[in-house]
Amino acid sequence: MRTAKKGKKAKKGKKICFLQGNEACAEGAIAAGANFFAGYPITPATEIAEVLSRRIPQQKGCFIQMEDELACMGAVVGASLAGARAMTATSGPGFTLLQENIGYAMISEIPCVIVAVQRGGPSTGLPTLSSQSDVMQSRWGTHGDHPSIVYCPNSVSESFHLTVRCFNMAEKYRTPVTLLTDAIMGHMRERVEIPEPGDIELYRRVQPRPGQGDYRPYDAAGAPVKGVPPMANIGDGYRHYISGCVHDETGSPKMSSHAVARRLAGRLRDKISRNRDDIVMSESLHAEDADTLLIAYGSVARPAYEAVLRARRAGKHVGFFRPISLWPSPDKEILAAAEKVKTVVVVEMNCGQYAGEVCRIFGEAGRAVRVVKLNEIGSEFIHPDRIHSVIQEVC
Amino acid sequence: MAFDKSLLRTAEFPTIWCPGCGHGIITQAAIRACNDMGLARDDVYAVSGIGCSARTPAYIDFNSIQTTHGRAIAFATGMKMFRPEKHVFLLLGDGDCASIGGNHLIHACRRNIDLTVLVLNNFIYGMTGGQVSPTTPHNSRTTTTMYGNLDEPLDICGIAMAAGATFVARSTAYHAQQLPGLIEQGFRNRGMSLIEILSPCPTGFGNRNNYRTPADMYDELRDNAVPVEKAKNMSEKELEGRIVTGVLKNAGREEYVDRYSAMLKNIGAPDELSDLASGNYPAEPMRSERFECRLSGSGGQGLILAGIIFSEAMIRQGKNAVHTQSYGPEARGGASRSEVVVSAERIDFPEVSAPDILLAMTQDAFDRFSAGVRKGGAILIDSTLVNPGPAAARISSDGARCFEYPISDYAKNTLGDIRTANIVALGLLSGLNGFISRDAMLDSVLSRLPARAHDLNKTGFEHGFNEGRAMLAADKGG
Repeated sequence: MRTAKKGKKAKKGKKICFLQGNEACAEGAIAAGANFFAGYPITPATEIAEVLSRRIPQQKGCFIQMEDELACMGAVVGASLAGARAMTATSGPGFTLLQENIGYAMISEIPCVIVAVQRGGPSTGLPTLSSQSDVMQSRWGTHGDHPSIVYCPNSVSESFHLTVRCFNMAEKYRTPVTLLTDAIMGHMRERVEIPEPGDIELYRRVQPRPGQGDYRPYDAAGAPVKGVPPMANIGDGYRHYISGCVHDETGSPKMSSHAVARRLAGRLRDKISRNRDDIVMSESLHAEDADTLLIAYGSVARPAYEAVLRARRAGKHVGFFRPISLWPSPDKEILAAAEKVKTVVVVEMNCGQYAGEVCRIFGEAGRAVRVVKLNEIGSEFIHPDRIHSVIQEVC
Repeated sequence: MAFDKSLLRTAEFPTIWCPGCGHGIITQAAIRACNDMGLARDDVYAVSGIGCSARTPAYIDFNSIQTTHGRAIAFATGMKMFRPEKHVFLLLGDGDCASIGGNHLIHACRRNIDLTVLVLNNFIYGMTGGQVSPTTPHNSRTTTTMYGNLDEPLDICGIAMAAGATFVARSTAYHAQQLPGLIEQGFRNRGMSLIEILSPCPTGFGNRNNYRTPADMYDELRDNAVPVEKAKNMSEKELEGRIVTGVLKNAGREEYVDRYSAMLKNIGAPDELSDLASGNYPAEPMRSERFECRLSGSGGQGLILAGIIFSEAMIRQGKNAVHTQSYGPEARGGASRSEVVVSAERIDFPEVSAPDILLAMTQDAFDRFSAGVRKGGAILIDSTLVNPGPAAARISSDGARCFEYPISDYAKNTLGDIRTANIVALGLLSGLNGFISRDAMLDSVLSRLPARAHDLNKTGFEHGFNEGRAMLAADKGG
């Protein structure tokens, strides 16, 4: 197995760096102990592969440029099965090609990290311009019912830290985890504080007890993380069967048992939903006195927050909410932030993908709230002035 | 040719294969090959895709992984790279390997990665009920070619050889005695090995193509097989419809993972990110909370790098800086824009709305952006390339100032290297703005350039700085 030799650790301390969002993802991956990356060139995500083609071999890990994104995701899942902390990075059209094997990783519960740097779509769309139009692809891009964990950074610094978190969540919950950034975030450069390596907490997959003869790869009974079976790396002596078929606790395909199918799908759902407090992240600012709440995420959260501050200085009671985990949705956090709110404005660079989710959240809670959509569909970064004028209209 | 029955997962029996199917024979041959080589079962990864062939790993007590349709080679590539010590063998069908997975096959052969691929070629999509596959013979009837197959069959071995696989062989399920030896040779080849094994599908193919019994299909394999040694002396016409069997290619070549491991040995210590912790860089205070700078011109002028250096200087001075860029799809020559926002506070909106300073290094950039400069702001023009013309009066009436310097001319003709123009421009910008520390900017310039370029760029920067200061003094004096 490929592992870096542990050298003497020099005390380094944290560093102040000036990094591009994509570089920060790559450095986050290195900090998270990534030792396998498979990539394919695509704008605006290519820098992640470029940086890792240099950095991963320095850590004695594997870097490979595959023949397409279908193969990237296959290689990533294969390497993770063999014990790697594996990742790929892409953008819209490539994200679509990854979906096939993301589904495989979902049902066979293989940890892996996907970075999707959004650009204008559909299809070739606007390769160099930004959008947030893959919010639903990140949730439902692969077929079948399944949970999704997706984080969405609003700064270069957060791109670094959330990449580390993606690895940790992937390993902890045995699932693919996506970092959903965009062209603005990926190409923006900003000040980042890189912590000392020892200060970064890393979670590694729980493995069966050495020589555990009765190991069943999909049996979560008594597992340290509720609903998540310990995972043996292939080739470590367990010789279990892994497939993308519906399977029982031994891994054996059971393709005509409704009971087995129900049990598996239920556990896959519950392992995320029952641990949602550990997974969900969000930020709520100035919500205490708010009668209007602005919701924005990713790069768009920046002009949105600036507009909120401007409106507050003018005496408006506007609050700000930022989902950091888009999926699972921070339902209860949004409801708490919007306790006294009559109007919610959802600002996003798409036709309203997350606004639909916000409507669901208030609808399920029986809350009558007016949901206003502020959308940019021409891939122009939304200016704070534009958001501010909508606040003035509704508030 | 030992056969260790304990390698069978009999709990998974009966198999899904129909009576007469050749896949069981091939499974047994693969097990015999592993036994003969003395492979420990923990050291074997058996990888498959989707289809009848893909169920094989379920019945063998190896590390058994059934992947997605066509992608087994991609999965196996990840496994082999990360665990080079393992034997990775794949059991693929003809559709899996040569249709949906054809691209992965070609590229694995090109890399010559150490995988052993068994292609269980039954000329048909069997599991889905008998549709035409890339290896279905011309004119054959299948459930999707009811008027006969229009295509010619694909030669999988030919593709593998042409793409660079180092061991390629062909045999049939009839030749059960020959198979273990061929498979073992494939295993022993350090590189990409492909063994195509023709395997009858009485249900999906035989039924519709005038084979009365499964035995007829095996008889045909026997009768049509020609050993490769014999085939060498036969004409193309004589070989029509025949199956050339045996080792078709066995040519050593350096293996991909070995090359990768050798590369790793020659890689030095990991890069260290440079630390921009703020130093002692005295400078005037900023006049406003937010300062916006737009560097505009064309691709290749080094404006993105200039923006990065500018920002890093600000961070060295303990401020926040955000850099954004926009460019066209061209690598050189298209419009290029590099923008920096500086603040002592947190920066939310990262883009420039109305710049405090605009650097215009092409006429197009000047024409596009000069009107957007903030009142009281400044425009620095590369007068080698830009003629402000009548716009100068408008700019001045808008309350902005215009500074001109022949940046490109100085870089090209005095310094002798046009590539220093961006650094000369940074010198001018530093001279024109009191809140920029000369030392912080120069430190940033030098840290971003290779040592061999330091002297020239330092000269250029300092010249620009002094010119900038002189222009500022003249402007204040005027």
